[in-house]
Amino acid sequence: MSLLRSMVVGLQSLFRKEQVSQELDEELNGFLEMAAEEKMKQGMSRKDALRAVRLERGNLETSKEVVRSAGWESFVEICWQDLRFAARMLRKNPSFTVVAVLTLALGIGANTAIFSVVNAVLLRPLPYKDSDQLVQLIEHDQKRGVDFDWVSFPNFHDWAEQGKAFQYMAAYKFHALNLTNVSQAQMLFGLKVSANLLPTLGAEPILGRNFRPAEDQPGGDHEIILSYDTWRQSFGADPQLIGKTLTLNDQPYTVIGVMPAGFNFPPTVPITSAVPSRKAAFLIPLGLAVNPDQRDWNMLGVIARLKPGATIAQARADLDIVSRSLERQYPTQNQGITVRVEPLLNQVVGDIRPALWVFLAAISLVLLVACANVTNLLLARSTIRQREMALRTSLGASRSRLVRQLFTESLLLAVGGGAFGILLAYGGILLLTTLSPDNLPRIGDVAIDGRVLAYTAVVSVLTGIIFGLAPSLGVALVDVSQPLKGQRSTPTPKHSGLRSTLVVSEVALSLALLIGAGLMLKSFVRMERVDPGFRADKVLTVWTILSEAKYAPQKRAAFYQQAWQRIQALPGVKSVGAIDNLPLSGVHGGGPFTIEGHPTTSDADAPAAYRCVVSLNYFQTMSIPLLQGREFTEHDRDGSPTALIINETAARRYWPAQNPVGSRLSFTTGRTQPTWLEIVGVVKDVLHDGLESPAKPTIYLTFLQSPQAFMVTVARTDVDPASLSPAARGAIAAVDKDQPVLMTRTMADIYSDAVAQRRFNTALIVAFGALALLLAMVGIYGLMAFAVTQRTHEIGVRIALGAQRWDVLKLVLGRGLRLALLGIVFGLAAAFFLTRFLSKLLFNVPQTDPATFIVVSLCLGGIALLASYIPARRAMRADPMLALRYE
Amino acid sequence: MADKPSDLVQGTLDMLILKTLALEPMHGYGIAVRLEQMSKGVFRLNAGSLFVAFQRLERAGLISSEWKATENSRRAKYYVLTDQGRKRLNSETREWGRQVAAIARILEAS
Repeated sequence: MSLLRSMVVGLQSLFRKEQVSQELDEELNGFLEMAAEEKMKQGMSRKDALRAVRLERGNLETSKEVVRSAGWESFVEICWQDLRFAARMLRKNPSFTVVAVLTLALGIGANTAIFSVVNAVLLRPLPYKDSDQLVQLIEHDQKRGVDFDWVSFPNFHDWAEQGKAFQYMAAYKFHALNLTNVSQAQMLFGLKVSANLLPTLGAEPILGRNFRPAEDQPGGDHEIILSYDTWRQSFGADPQLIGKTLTLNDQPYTVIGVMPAGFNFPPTVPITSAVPSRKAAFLIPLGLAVNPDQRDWNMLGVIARLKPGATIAQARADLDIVSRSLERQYPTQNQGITVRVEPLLNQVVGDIRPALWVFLAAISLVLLVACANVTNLLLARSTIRQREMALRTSLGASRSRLVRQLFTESLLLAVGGGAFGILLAYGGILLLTTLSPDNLPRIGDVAIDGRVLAYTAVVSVLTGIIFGLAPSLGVALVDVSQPLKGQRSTPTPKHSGLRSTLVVSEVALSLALLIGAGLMLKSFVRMERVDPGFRADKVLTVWTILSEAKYAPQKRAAFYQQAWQRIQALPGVKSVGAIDNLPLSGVHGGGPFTIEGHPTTSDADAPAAYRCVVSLNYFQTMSIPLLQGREFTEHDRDGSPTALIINETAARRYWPAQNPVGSRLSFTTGRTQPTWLEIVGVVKDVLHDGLESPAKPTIYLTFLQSPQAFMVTVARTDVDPASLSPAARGAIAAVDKDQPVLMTRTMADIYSDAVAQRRFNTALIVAFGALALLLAMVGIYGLMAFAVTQRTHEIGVRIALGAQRWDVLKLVLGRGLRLALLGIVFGLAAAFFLTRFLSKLLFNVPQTDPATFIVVSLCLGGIALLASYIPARRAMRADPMLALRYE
Repeated sequence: MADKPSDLVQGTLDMLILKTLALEPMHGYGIAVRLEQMSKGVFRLNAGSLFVAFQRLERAGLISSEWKATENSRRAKYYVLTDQGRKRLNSETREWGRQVAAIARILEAS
């Protein structure tokens, strides 16, 4: 209450300054008059009485000042004064102000931009109700030490039945549907989900209803919920669509609902090129029943909502019990299988999190370099302003008042830097979002929001305090008398020591950053040089899924044979092949197998390999060389014995020191009677999972013996492969006009996606390093240039006394080089310590790669030499007469 | 600068002013004279510290003020004790009494 009153009164006296001052004047005057009258009654003259009162009670002006400065509003007033004065000082030195504000704006702006990415990608919650209660369940194979994001339906079913910490547990799997019976056949990409997926997410359709549990049963699963976008784009937002029937994969589906516009699940589609859309177009029921033989068919994503109040630790403990009991019950399939419970947010940002934190740390180092630079500028200026400070001190300004004044100037600079920084950040964000790979999750949501602004404000004030500290405290140490005596202001040793220290730390910080950048660059070059095992240029890929209802296996073969013939016949096409799991696309499949003569007891001990189905000309089209045995031929067909080709890695790992050609293996494991299949050839390795993962053992089957519905056709061309895309689509439509193409992409694009993340990371770190380098060089240059100006007199004397110009050059260069070397030594030590945080982002480069450390240090040293050479040359040309005339 | 009376704690000055105003509304000079009389000339206050105290007390809502004519038909600002001020005075007086008693006991004990 009284605080409020004090504020109101204080504000009144701020805004009605005149009136309040007048009242105080009158009151005080009255007080002194009354006191004087009292004295005059005792016989004093009016003049004497007034003087006596002044002595006794203090004079009018001082008292007024005392009363006025007692209220809080006087503090505001002083701050306002300081602020206006600071603004005036900064305006009077436009070049200094511009350089300082720009430096800060660069640092703060870059920092803001990176933080806004961190904010949108890592910190913002997922767009679901109480999303912190949502978790992802992952199978962990303890024996092999690997995670499976995908879970088998029987395991999911048992977890959901027996887990006690969960309110809901839901499963989903990606699914594609051909939409026909419309003007143009269309491939929709969406999800099969358990009926409780929407309740788990806390979401509801805006039109229609969710699935009923009875609809999530085998045979009863012919309902579909459309996404908002699909409803609008493919059906013109028709409100009458609910209840109508669509033909999907040649089956009738009843539309029962439409999801709201903002709904999207999963929050990020896994980073793979095989997915044509980031947003699921539809939901249909999973419609699965428990089949005990499928306990190791890992195919479902599983999410769950924790019971209110339950923690992730409780959920983990709960599922540990469940998975142990399943292990006892199904030892063959579930031995060593445990469940990992992770926040759903991790699924989205888990891969990118370490990189983003490294970026934020790196850009903060850049900001520190910027701070050091501005501190140096301020120190240089405070040397020049010594006279002003001394004068103000001798006129009665207290030191604390001067410190406050300087601090106000620093804060004003910082706020200016912050304001321009935000403008720069807008540009930075635009640049970042354009350059960033598409598969960086949630990158589209990056924006400057309240949290980012608050962060910028805090960072600006902090930087203001950091760089304002040294110059302000420097004032407290200044000897007042010297400058006023008209002596030339020489930099006090304390100042120049501090300034050198700052330059040394700038060099050290930027060296550490540059070494990080060097390591990233080297990793990138190493990765670019990796041989993926096939030639990616001039290849077009055409993705198709045949509906299983319409195409029985033999009809699939017929369809694809015709399609490939037509594509082969297109002008510009050299050869055509096809594979189901295209390398680098993120699609893979496989499992355990048994080698003849080497029985294994459980799946976990069995050898395992990726399995791919390829067409006859696939290896030739992709330029994958055959190493041993033979390729598939048209004689390997239905009815003849199944032929297999394996890759080098499989041959080395499972048939060490022997020729695998002629050996036999079986895809059945355990007690089932094995069907033995013969290996007929060995091909060179292909890096299936990306350029940074080693080749996996792979077994190839021929399409003629196991025709698949989903195939990626690859066509090697003489011309730009992208230009053949319409013709290839036409070829597919010519075979079956109701058969949509999922997508067409060039292999070069798919390759580029695979390196996009690393390219982005590298570009960012290198940009930060360059920024730090630039700032550090400006710092060295500034310090040396200032030192030369300050020492003009000394240099003039030296030259007058016979010093050679070369000696002068050596003097200045020597100092610059000493500072740079010292900085490099500290920088190397810092880099040695800091690069370990980078190790996760490096590829085939040790975190303390000596070559990088040496080359970057040499470069930095050279550039530092250059930065001090320019002022040194000026010093060398100093005219002794001119220099001495200053005396 | 002696902007605080030498050995008069801030709280004590405030309490003495409230005490003075408990009798009747008074202008600044009157309060100064009364304080000197009460303390038999020990408290000789300069205008600055006195008016800072008025400002403080007024903002705290313990006193209020209005302009009135004095007996010598001069315009002066009269300070009045508010209800809140009266309450504060009572509680402070009690507290003061306790402290004095406590100090006295300590002095006796040593």
